[in-house]
Amino acid sequence: MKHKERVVTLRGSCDAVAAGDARGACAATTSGQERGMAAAGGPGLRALISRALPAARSLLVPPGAGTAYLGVALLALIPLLTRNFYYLRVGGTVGLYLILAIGLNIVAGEAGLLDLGYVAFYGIGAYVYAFLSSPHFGLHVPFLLSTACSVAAAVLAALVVSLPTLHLRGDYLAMVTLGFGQIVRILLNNLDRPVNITNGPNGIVGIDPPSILGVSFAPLEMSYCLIWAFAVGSVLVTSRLLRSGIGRAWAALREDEVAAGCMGVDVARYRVMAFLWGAGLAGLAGALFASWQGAVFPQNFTMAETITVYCMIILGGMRSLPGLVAGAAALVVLPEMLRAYSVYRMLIYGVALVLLVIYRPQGLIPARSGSSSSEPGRTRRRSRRTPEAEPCPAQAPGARMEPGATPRAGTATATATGEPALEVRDVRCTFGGLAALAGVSLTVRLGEVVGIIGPNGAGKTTLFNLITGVTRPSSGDIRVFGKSVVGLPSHGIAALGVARTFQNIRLFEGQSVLENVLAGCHLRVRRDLAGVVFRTRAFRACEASEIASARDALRFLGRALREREAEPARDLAYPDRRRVELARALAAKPRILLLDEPTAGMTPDEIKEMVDAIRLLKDHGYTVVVIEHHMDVVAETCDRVIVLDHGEKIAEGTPAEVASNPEVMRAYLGAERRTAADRPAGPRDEPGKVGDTTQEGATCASANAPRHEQVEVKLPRPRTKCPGRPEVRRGVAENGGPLLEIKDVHSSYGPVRVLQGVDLYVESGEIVTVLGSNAAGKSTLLRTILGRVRPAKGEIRFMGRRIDGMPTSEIARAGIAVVPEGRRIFPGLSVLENLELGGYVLGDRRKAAERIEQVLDLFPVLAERRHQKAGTLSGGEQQMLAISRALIANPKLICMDEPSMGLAPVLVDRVMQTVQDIRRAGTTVLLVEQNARAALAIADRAYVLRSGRIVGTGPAARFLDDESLTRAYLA
Amino acid sequence: MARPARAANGLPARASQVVRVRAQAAVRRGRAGDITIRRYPPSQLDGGWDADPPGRARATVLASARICGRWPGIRRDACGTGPGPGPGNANVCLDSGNNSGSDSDGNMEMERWETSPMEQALAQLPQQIVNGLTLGSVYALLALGYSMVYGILKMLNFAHGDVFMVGAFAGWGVLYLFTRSGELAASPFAVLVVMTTAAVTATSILGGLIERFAYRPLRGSSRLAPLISALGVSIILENAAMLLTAGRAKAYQTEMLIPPTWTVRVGDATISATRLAIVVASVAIMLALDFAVSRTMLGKAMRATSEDPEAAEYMGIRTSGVIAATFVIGSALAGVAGVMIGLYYMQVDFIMGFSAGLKAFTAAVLGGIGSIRGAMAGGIVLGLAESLGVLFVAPVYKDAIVFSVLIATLILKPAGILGEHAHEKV
Repeated sequence: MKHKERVVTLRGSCDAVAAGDARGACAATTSGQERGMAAAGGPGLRALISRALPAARSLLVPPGAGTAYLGVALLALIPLLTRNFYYLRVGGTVGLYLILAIGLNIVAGEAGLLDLGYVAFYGIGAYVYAFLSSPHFGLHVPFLLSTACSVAAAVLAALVVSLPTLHLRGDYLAMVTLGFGQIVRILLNNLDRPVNITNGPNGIVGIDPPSILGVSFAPLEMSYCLIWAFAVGSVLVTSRLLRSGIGRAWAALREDEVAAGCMGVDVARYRVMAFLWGAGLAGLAGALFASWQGAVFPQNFTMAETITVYCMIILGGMRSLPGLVAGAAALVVLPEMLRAYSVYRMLIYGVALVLLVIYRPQGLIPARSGSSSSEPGRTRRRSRRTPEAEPCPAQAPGARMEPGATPRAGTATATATGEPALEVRDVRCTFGGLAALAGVSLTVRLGEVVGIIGPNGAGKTTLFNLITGVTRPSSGDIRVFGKSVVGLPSHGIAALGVARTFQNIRLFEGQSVLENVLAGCHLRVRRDLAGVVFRTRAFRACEASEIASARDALRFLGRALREREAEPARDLAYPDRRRVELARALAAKPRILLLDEPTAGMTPDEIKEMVDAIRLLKDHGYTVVVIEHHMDVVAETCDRVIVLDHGEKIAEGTPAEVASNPEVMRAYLGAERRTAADRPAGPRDEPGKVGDTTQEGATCASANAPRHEQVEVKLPRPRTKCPGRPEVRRGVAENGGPLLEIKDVHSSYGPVRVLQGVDLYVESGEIVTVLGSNAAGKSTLLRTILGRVRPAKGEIRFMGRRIDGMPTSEIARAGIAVVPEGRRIFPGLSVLENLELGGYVLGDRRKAAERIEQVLDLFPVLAERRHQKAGTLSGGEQQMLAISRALIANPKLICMDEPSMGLAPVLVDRVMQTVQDIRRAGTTVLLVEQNARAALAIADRAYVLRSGRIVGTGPAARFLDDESLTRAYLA
Repeated sequence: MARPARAANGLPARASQVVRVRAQAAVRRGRAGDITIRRYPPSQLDGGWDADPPGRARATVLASARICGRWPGIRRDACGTGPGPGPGNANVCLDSGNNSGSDSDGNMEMERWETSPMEQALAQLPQQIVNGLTLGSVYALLALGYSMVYGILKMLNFAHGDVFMVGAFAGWGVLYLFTRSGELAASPFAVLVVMTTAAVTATSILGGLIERFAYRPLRGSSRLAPLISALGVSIILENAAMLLTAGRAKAYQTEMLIPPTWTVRVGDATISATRLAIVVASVAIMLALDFAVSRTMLGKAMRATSEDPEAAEYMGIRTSGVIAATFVIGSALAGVAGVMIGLYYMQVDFIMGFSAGLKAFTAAVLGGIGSIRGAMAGGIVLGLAESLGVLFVAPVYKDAIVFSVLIATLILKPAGILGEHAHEKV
């Protein structure tokens, strides 16, 4: 064997160096580190390391991981001390795999890109080194140059792969990289003809051992130290990358690309960058491997290698540097120890992979949240060395927030100047024929706070998506400070000074609170490579000042948040999550701030704090556009309100003007429509109580009122059927109780407590409507009944039988049909097939077919289009289909979730008429509606839901004229 | 390390992969002399040629070469190129004895076909199209499993190729049991039926178990998790098969089941009955599946679950059951495909699942993943691309061609021929 020869011939001369290396090879023994690494890396490295050393000490030994590093260091010492040939081989292999694992961790762990062709870059690096330093082509390029070429070739290959695949995600990207890996292997295997390039399956042998500046690293101890020097260097550089704006950007795009883009992260660029870094490290490992083994063969670079490296990072723990070391060591050393069972090696890998991913997905040494990015504690520890906070490159002087003070807007204006900041001109946006926005124009002036309100489906969030480049308008123009942003990517718009929050909070869940906020600083932090890797003064200063401003933003939204800054975002309670999201947007020091329902799901006190915060922002000259449905919030914060409905602007003016606008009233509550013919003149008993309840519920304070107060004012159950009702068939439960009964149900949606003790019942043959504004908990109530959300407390009975805890399909089989929110028809199936699925529970095709014909008689439009794909129907037709689909199985109860949403008024009438027809045919209906007037016109009884509590109940007729209802919505 | 030995035909033989035979080449120019006989597929195992068991080898005959000599110890399979001259894949069977690394007394003659390369290629076109259709229909069967599972769970079932391999071995097991000293112990047709049944049973059960124990616990977790679990299952199956078969390829005695003399001549092409049977059976199965998915209640439930699992639950569909059924059906198809590929290549080995699985997935993506008819179309297109690639590029690059097609499709039209692209809701 070549290596043995090298060792023998050169042993005498390098004993002394090897002794020095013995100390150098261990990563974290601080005593011998500098000397040893300098010995291994030459004088050029010395400078680098001496500069990096203090930081390295703190970087490499994060609290808790110290023992892991110490263990590795001791293990890495053993081969050198024993000078055992076999131990050195194994130890060197661990070092090589560590470099590979670090690279793959960047791609798959940090940036979340599933690269299944990773080993191809390793192979390219190894072969390029072999071409340049072997007798194969007769070239003997110096080691360092040759290694640099290997890295460059791997990076170039990665560029070629990643650029055209930028638009691919997840599995598709995995397949492309997998195919690429296979192609590279096939080429390596077959490029010996017609021109011998790779020497085919025989590989390239006789590769030069490494040699730097005349010092040969041929002896095994020497190359062992070289590999470990590179491995330690890779760990060092990578950990610094990860703890900078670059690492945070990777984490952001892994967690949420849309949010990352809106924070100014150039998603495409960072994806490519992650790929290139990974490939570069693989290329480096390849070059080292070639020089270490002295030969390369195609079979060194098969899919099995990729899987081995994946096993390492998954076993050890993704995104955890100590985990990577442990993973690499375990997967190299264990098979060696189990050599007798080597045929079972891969089998054991397979079993381990499956078990790990099921039982311990976080790996052996899991990454702590935030381990890969800035850690506040550490910054504090080093603060004495941190130079005076200097302004970062993109940061205007004086724009830095004063500690404890309100953040100041990027522009120094304190009041509205009249200069237009945001102009939206006749913007249209259609999704598959449905117009989400149908020509909206609006202008927001600098320093203004503008509210945007409107019912569900009005196009409010779509408008924000258009402004921030998440979606593109079909036509129209959007200008930010006079510059058209149509077609600009999200990060480009963010760079113009637009920051936003999201309706369904989009935090980087796995990242710590502070890291989330720091992501907002992305555009200002230094991300130049030299600064990041060498931790220059300017870099540290900038980082410190950004951390300070991120903390200011957090403190601005609550002192408690500042104390919890190290916790992962996913552990926060719901209102805190909203605040962190706002802090993240503020950290960007935006010139225009877009807030999408900032108070949704908050308690009155929390809402008040948020209102104060927005007003403070206004005082400090921020330009804010806020989507809100709490009218009181709008009234207190906004200079101007714009009302959207059905994708059109229907009103604009001061909050007071808008609130009294009849058009707005109609948009929220539905058209004034009295179907006197249908409505029995029921006894109007106890009108005052209902009014009181709703009135109470309408104000913020009383929403917190103890529940028993509401129970007291609840009306007696109408056990008898209402006079004048059409005779209906009744599927009464055996116990004679109500058809559906909900008692004290609490349920949460993730961390959000949505329902807080809801009592409700539905008698057979009734139409009961549940009313409430956005986010009152209406949909969650339905989802809880239907088994999609499991109640934390309380019970739900259907026909006397408990159904809480039952799977949705069984609840459907028990006789509850649904017309889900947003219709949820199966767009790819024909109308007929949709209906057939509605009869799925019947289990009898003939019966279902009969039922379908009956139902189609009621809906001639659907009958005409029975073979058409459901997705091609218009919105109203789709709603009809959703309703008729629910009818097929002859359910006892139909739950309808906002059947009028997104429909034109005439269609709303039609839908409501249908609901009445359904009841007349004997089916009970539970109708959840935002269009209160339409629902009340046909319902027998109504419940008003606000902030997860029933705040009013009684006969529907009573609510119709009741001002309290209006207040519950618009107050 | 020794320099590679040179075979008698003057071409470098590959120490690890090439059966060194004394071949007498009558060809002097062009690629026609390019004949290699390699173990198929190249073993991924350590150990040199010396350790190799007697087994099957496969001759890749290029362009106008043909094998026409007698070759003691090496039986040529009629299933390959047929009696006439022509390129293609001739399967040869190495009997024990003469292949221990030293020269065997094999004798191989090759004749040059006196036509231009293009003419030669065109002359082979019909034959290669038949090959392509045969392979393509097997890929399509396999692609259906990928597509159905992806359609419902949006996950790549990496283990599907290995389920297919298990099916192939189950078929082989039955064949082995029914073979008594080189003869079949029952009627060929009955044996075929039992083989297929065994393969389908084995793979259905396996598919169900995999779904239950490796994927279901991960439902609702990150997108990466099931993919890694699938990789793990794939590694387990492959290595378990390797251990059980001692890493050896197993011979499928297709000639005992379907006589090689049964052929159909269509123009210039000779279609063996085996190929015809494979194509006909696949088409029949695909038609049946298409009917089942579009007409039966289970099929509709499957489509509904794939489009909107939540709404499907509202309809009373037990989606977990539907998902399990999808895995079972997909795996059953893989079982059938496994037997077919055994009949086609006349040998099966533990590693075949990986590349076949990749190709089938490529076919599924090509056709538009999630679409059943797309999977069928993609399979056929891919099979043809592969066999025409053999004809016009070079056989060693046929897999590279397949993967290039995959990458090009994903880059240019990620939704595939018949697929649709979904957008994320913000």
